[in-house]
Amino acid sequence: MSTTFDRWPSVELDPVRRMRILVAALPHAAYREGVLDAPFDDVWRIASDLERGTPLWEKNVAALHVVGRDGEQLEVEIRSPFGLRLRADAVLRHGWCIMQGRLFAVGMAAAPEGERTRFAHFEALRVPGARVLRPLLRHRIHHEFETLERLARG
Amino acid sequence: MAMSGLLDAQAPYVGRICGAIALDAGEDAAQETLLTVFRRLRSLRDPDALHAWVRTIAVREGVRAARAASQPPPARDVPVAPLGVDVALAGDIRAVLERLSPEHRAILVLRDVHGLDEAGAAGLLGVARGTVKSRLHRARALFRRKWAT
Repeated sequence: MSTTFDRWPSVELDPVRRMRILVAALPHAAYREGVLDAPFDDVWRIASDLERGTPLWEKNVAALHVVGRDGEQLEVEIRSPFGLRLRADAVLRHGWCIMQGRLFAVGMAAAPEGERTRFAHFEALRVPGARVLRPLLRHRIHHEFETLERLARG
Repeated sequence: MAMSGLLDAQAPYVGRICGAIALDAGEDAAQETLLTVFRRLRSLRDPDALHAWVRTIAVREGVRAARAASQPPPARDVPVAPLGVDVALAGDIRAVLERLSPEHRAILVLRDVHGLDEAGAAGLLGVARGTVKSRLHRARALFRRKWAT
């Protein structure tokens, strides 16, 4: 055969599909996926604005500051509603963001679905007993989706 | 972050294998492959075996997804064409692959694209070496014929 592999059919997974895969390796993660009734650009404009947008819809974040940036690799400092300050490494790219600190990991992904947006979000605690807290996290994520949708719709 | 990096590294590789074998079902096949890989990652004893392990799952999942999608069987009434395929466009290759069975696409991917030997391909596909040999012969012949038409 004189064909080359780079000319053969190939597929690329959208960010939400990739998020499902990542979560498969995080057994204690609380994960939710749904369709938000707002266009992708409006959703991602808020979701990707970590400093101004995240505190508006992520209940665990009172403030977030990007303290380092190298391309899509970020270092962020998060202040919780209880005043706890946490550092985390993050990756932010179109439709995709994950953050990981010593005690937690969170991620979000978005992909257009017609005029609406498929959105995925996980939260995982890296502490003993994390499994017990998963239902609580899932419940909270549900409300975060509602908030994000409302913000995206203006 | 390590998991995310692993996903970034493996997703394109899996996408190429599943895309070539499963075609329209390629995205589902790639997702199922990577879900399996990430769920079973802890069971992998030898990190050096990761690539081959992923390839094995991707090929099997690609064939399974293609079968499930019920893609039409290859036509068998096309005249034999000269050898020496000159590839110009990916779309042309896809059109040819669409006319092969998932099993023939899988053997072409393994032997001609990835360069696996007969024994390696036989082990991965769970068939005898003789089957690999005859299947490859048939797949190459079909590819060339379809390409020429």
